[in-house]
Amino acid sequence: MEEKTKTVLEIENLTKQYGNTTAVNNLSISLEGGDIFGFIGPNGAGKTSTIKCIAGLLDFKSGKIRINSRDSKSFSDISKKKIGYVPDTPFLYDKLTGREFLYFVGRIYGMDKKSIDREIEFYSKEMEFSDYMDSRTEEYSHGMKQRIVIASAFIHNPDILLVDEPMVGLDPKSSRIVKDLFKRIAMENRILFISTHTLSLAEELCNKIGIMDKGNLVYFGGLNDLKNKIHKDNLEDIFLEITKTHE
Amino acid sequence: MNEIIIARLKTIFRSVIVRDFKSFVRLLSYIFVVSVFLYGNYFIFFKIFAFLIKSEPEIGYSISQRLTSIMFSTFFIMLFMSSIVTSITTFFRTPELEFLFTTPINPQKIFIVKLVENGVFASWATLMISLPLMFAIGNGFQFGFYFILRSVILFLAMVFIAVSFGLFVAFFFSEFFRKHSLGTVIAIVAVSAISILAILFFMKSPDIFNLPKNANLYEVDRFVASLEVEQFKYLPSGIVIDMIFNKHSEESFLMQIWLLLLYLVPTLAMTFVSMRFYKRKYVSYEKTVQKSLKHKNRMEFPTVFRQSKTALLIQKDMLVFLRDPSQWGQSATFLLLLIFYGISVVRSPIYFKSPFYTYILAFANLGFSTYIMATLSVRFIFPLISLEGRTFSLIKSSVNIRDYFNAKILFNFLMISVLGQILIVGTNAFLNLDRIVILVSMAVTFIVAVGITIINTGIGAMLADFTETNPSKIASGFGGIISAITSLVYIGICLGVLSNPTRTYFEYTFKKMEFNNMYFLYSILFVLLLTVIIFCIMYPLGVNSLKKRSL
Repeated sequence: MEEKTKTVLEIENLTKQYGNTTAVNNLSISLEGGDIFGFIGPNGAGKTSTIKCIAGLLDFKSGKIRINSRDSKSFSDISKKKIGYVPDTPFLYDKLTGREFLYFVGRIYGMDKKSIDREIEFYSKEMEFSDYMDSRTEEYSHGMKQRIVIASAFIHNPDILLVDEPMVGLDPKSSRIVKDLFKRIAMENRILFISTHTLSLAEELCNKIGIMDKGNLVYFGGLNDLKNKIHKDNLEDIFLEITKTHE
Repeated sequence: MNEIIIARLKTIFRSVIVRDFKSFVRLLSYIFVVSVFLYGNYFIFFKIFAFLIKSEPEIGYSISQRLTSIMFSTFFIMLFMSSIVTSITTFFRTPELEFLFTTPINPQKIFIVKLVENGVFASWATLMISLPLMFAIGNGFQFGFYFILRSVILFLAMVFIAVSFGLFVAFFFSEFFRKHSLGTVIAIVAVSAISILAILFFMKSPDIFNLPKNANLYEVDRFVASLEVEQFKYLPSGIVIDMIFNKHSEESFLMQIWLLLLYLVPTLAMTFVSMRFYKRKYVSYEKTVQKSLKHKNRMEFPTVFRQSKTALLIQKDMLVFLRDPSQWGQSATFLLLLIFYGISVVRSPIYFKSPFYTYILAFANLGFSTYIMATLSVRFIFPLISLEGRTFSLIKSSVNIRDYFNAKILFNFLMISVLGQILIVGTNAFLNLDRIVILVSMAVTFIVAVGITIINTGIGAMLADFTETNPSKIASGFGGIISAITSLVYIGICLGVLSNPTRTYFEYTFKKMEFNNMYFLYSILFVLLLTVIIFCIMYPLGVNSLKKRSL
């Protein structure tokens, strides 16, 4: 129980600029193990930039990102193992099969053969890709690729999962599978950081919400608190209300 | 003419327009690089022709004509083959077509735009070499501006025939091509091209310098006379060459015009037929649906280097390379051409068996081998980091960039070094050279392989294009040109440094002049030092640019 309340991800005054444009302005968020955080906002609000800063894909001008109290600027391979990242567009090596790709990722993270086989077995059943995982990924549909990419981000059991638009292109069955997986993972005391435009997904899954607009975090907290504050029941209405007031 | 061409022209105009200092520098760099390349080609050809006229005035003109003829015939076959491949992509597989065919634009207008595109894609590389060649002939022989203008027009006519003929073949066999992946098509076309070249090579046996050492005057006369006879006279390239050099009577010139028209008229008719049936062909050209194959897992743990991430990344790169037909198809083509080169060294004429020419050939062989290594590096090494594509975000978020860069360098070095050593040792062995020359060649090839690898990997990292998936397009882009020029300048310096002790060694061999083995050592040390300096500059530049790179 004590582990459950331990803060594992802290973002403090994060600022990211592209030339003269400020993509993320002074962002501060703190998340704990077990949180499913819904990061929502209009296009160009700075969601993907934030996620990429956390994943170590983008350098940032100022601020701090700490994982288990460790500064991300000193990210080592050990720190990288704590993060799993699912990009907004699923990119795989076309000439590898799904299984080979998962093997590749597992080995990058230093897993042994037995663990990789076990995890592949688990996720292939969980996400129902065992039928096609020995075919080359160039033959996959978008949804099939997305399932493999999600499995590849989860395979090394990271503490923090950064997921950018997970539901784009997924059919209803795949969406259900992914949602169930997210819920189960959150129960394992990990953090799920989900950037999405699908407000129903955030409403259904997330216990914490962050609303970004033009690089600024305009709300951060529990969904119910927000509903009580704005006096509206529907997240879509709340979202439109908040982003409208900041135009 | 039509909306698509206007959109294309706008795109080109906007990509070259100077908006800020950065775009100005970029434009200037492009102009500089292309100018250097064109002038460099012109300079080399001009020197060759000027040398032939000056040193061999009796046969210089005939040899020039023969050289140009062989080049034009090769260009014609290459244009025809490359047009088949580019036609399939341009007319049937480009995603833009899905959009264009849903608009009210007349399909025949789409066809014309694609025909122009196809012509440019298939012929730009050939034009980059042949235009300086024609200017060099014109100026070398002082033929004047009219000659150059006529040559360019006739060459463009040859390009049109080759490209349109290739297009017609692509249309005619579209049913066959649609059932196969582009990789298979490229492989088929490559093998066909090599086979045709091989048949021509062995049947026609181009014997430009094939004069026996003990030839008598009669044989020399016969040889000189034979040089002026066009070997591929009924191919469009042969007709164009005859017309360019125009040494015939007015009657035969008219005959040549008729012959050219004999090609041009059916070509136009074939193009017209293709245009008429374009929409129908496109609609029936379904996306390739291939049977899904199950593959054995090749990313299993190897028995050695179990924990090495470098070994893992190399394993992945090799697997992706070997499964990509556009990579191995072109590798196979290059390899076959190298085998032809090896065979031609073995079959080098009796005249070249004298020790002096053997050493000349040995040095030329070193130059040519390192030049081939540089060319192959630009095509195969430079694009490798770009080919990581958006998956680079996975690499960057999980692997130390230095480890990743080291893996690329090691993989690239192994590829290019093994190839270089096989080439240099194999050909030198056939030339029966001294052990010392073979060892020097091997050492230089080894060091140059390191230099070329770091140049292409470093620039490949700095100018990586993660959005392009076609390795040929990556290699022929701005970064590829920069990489090619840097590699060639590096090789030029290395060979320049080595030429001095090589010359002294010849003098020692033939004139028994003083020679010190240390000359070779000093020059190799210089090449080594240059390579170390390049490594020390390129390595941090490559690593840091990848670290800073955002996707």
